Amino acid sequence: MNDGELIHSILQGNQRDYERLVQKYHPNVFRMAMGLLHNKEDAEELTQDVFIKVYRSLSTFAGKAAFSTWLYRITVNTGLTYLRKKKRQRIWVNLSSLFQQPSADKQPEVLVTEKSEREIIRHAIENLLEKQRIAFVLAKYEELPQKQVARVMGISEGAVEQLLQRARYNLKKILEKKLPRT
Amino acid sequence: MKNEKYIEELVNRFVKEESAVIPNPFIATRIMAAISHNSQPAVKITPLWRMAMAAFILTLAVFAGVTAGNLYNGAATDNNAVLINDNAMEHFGFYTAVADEETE
Repeated sequence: MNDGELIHSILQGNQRDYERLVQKYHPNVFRMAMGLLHNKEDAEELTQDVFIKVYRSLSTFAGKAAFSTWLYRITVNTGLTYLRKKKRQRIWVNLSSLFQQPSADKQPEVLVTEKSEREIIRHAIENLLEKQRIAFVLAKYEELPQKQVARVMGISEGAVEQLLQRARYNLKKILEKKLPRT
Repeated sequence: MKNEKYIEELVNRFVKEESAVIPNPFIATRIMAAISHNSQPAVKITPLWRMAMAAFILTLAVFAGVTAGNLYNGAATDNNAVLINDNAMEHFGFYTAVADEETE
């Protein structure tokens, strides 16, 4: 059964076929979620949210684009909403931490040097502009060709190329500054 | 200063490690359970009777409001009510009424 036939069957009320669709695509959605959130639990939660959303709006899938393109688009949009929500929560946490006593255990400089390379790279990716970040995740984590990235983002291939170049340049600039010198 | 190739290798390694993370093997089951629990169909259509009921209630509320508004008679305050209500401004008719009572 191809995707179109599966979707038709699901819309007829065969929920079991939706499970087949989930089994087929959840690794892709999860990988993308990891690229956006960098945390396994959050990525699993996002994957679940995406598939619930897809199930509820399956009847609106026109079939003009491939199902995977539509799915990636929903993943990107849901992921961005999730990130904004997390950002708001982080602001509240940071505000509340202002009223707490600073830890006397470690000096701030020591804490900075203890940051692993992984955290610095993650932070650098998180600091990319939204569109650069999406293009980077689709191209690097999902290894999608630029043509499909363009289709998912609804922009031209040239624009994707530019976004990826800028993402690479910005990552290099941030990492050159922040990575500990060896 | 780090060279470009070194940084690219670091980023590639990071991406590779994150891409290799495997989700919970029961994630598909979890998703299906969440869908069944919510038990909402793929398309949610508001039934016609529910929309008609909402329109009827809204019309009834507007009608009741207008009727209640029309029932109010602003000039219905009598002299006794003026005495009872401290917030009401004493109108001139009250003093003339008292004078009339005294002359009677």
